[in-house]
Amino acid sequence: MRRAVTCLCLAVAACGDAAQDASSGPRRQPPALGAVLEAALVAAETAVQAETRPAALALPGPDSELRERMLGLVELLASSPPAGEMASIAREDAAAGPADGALVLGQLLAEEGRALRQRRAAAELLAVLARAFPAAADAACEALSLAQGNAQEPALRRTCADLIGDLGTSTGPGAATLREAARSQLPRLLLRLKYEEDNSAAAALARTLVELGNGAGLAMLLEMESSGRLPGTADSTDSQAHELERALDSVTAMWGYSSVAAADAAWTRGELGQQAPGPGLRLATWHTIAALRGERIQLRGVDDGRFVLARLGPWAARLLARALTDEDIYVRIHSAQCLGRMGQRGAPAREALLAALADPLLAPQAAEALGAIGGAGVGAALLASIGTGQEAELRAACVRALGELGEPTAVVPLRALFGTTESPALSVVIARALVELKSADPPVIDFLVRELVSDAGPLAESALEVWMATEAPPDLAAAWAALSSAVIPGTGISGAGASGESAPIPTLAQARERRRRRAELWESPGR
Amino acid sequence: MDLRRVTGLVALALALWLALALLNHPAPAAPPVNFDSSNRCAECHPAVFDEWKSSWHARSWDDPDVRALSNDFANTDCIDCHAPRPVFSTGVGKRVLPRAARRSEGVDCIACHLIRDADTGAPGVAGTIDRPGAACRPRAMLDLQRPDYCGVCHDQHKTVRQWRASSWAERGIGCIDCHMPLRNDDPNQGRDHSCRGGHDLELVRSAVELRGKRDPQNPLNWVLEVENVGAGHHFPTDERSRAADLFWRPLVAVGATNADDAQPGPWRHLYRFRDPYRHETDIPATHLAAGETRRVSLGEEEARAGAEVALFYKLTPYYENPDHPDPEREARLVHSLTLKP
Repeated sequence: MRRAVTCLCLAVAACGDAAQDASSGPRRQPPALGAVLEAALVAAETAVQAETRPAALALPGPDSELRERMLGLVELLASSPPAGEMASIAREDAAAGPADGALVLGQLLAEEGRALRQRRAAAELLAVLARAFPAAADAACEALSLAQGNAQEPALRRTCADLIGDLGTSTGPGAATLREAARSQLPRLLLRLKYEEDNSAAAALARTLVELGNGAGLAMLLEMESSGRLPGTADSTDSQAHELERALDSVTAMWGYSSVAAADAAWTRGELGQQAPGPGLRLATWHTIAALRGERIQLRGVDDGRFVLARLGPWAARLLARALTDEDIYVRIHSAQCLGRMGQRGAPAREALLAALADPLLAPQAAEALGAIGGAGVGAALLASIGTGQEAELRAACVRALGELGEPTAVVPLRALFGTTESPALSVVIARALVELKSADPPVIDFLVRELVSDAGPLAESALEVWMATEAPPDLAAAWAALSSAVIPGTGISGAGASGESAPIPTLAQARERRRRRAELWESPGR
Repeated sequence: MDLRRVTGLVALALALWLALALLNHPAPAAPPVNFDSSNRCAECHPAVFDEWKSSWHARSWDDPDVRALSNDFANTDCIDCHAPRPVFSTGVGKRVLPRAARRSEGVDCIACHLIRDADTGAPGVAGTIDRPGAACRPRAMLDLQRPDYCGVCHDQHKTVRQWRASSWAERGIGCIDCHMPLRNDDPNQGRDHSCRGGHDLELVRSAVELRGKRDPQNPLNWVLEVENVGAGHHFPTDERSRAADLFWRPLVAVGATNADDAQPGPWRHLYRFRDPYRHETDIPATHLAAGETRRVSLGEEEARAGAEVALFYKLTPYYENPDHPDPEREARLVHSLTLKP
């Protein structure tokens, strides 16, 4: 029976290859490439300049009367009780303008040598000025987000994050301008999210992101809750936990969902954050995409860019889709990676990614991104690229993507390919995909067990880890897990397995020994 | 001229022509190799392959440290350098790009040597000689020897930049001179592909010297000197996770009356050499430039009667218990010395 099934699979695979070769006709032409990024940057700059806002602000000289006045207001606010009359006077005076005062206050806020209370006062007055003068909104939000990103003092970072959130949720006259000015700082705020280590500043930043409609803030709040990272602004641990809880509750109210989980799921599915970006945010996003270019050797800017872009809403996928045809291969590949990391939020780029499968340099990353995004036509397109006539890179990427996608129609072709391919490297990838599809039959598992002690050991171990968590017999899974976390007598192995739990890191020899011991589990009688 | 002589000359000319034709005709080329795995290279180059196999380039994907620090490569940023596309496909001096297949082969033969013909796209390998008839179609490419070549990955943490600012660059001593030396100093035997680096304790030991003496300014104190004498770049370099730590402990344990009876106490941390991670903004960069000497004062009262000092090297930066680090278990001893009055 098994032989008959194998023959059938092989026949299907052969037909698949033949059908693909015969039916696909002339191969799809690669998309035309061009200076997409450069053109987009110029267009975005033009759009920002063309906005019907008052003329750009002018920074007065260092000895100007305006600077003296703003400095006086800052000192007045900083030295007065927040609810006192003097503080009110300072705020009212700041609201009297002029809008150029935002640039002065931005300078004062950025001066590291200045006392913290003065810098916090400057931040607060910036927000006052922005509310009073739409012309000051962009400058104020930019100054606040720069300080939010650069200030050494967590308290100041927290204040700035809170103020941006407040401006971004303004109501009343000029609110649209304020919201857009605050949203245009999203890339900068997201970058800070990557590096923020202070719990209270991180919580404030996360709240602000939520207020600006970005789910990365919600993810951060959830991560803080699950890992016990408490904000630290309240006196007791209970109060801190309560503060975090309140922040999470506010998300449901703000986004209109019945629970935090529902809000998080909606963000993950790409149902939120569809709103088209204004000119400022569009320009900031194109500048972030520009950081992906290949002109610098260091990956730092690329890593930061990938982090930020992957956390933007679905609207950003449309921009990244355009970047897939940029003439710079680095921009194309890293844009595809960002789309993959967005998951379902990357869906607006699906068609562009399908077209990118015809770009020989980009195709593997496009396939991997499609595996994360999914949707109509993706499974078929990936299946069409796993045949023997394709590049090894693309085949591996498509197989991996099919597994991640959970594409049920892939099971038969993948089983057939597993039986016929002569590439051990590809076999491991196929086996992993079959495990993810919950379709790994005994020959596939046996193969992975054999590979545990080969060069592909870490990949095989990682695949078997998935199988252990889903389909393995409980006694085997328990024995496997025991070799992951327990100290193995005589070896000193106590390290993290492929599951990555927190534990001392084993040496290479110890890791190999662990895999060898795990492979031996299948040698026990009755298995 | 008689007929026999003419016939003889003609025969000689024919023979010469035939010989020349045979000599000029290239040997039939071996069928081109299919570069689907670096294991193919072992068929003709087993010794070099074995050297590479023993190297950390070969382990760049399955090194447990990397897997742990990258969260099992869930941090996909790490893939770019740990499973790169062929360097020549992106260009020497340019950033590498990640590949989708053969990741478990790490930084492999194909990543460093695969080239493609500009006109036909036919694959070949970059090497030290042109041999168009060989299966892998090698071509001599001097680019392989340039520090910028190594820099496509190793300049991520500015190692090549550090080298370029050092006297080693002025003297023309590049990456491969130390990390891929000629086998037996013989150019005909090619270069060692085990690519020794920070995992090689002997190489680490040769990079720095540790010295100690009484502080001339304050004779009760000691001053320790660590000098980067052998690395053409900072010590440590490349990976921000790398660190070197100076520890000390009293020569005579507190309470012991006889030095021979005394058990050495726990090591006490004195100084760290390291380039911190980007997010560690409160930690200064203290790695040691090529040729630089760092002086560290040891003025603890318990050290005055004598102390044992040791320099340890770590591949990952953190100790399990930062308050009570155990360098002998968690790090590797580079140098030690005894300070006696």
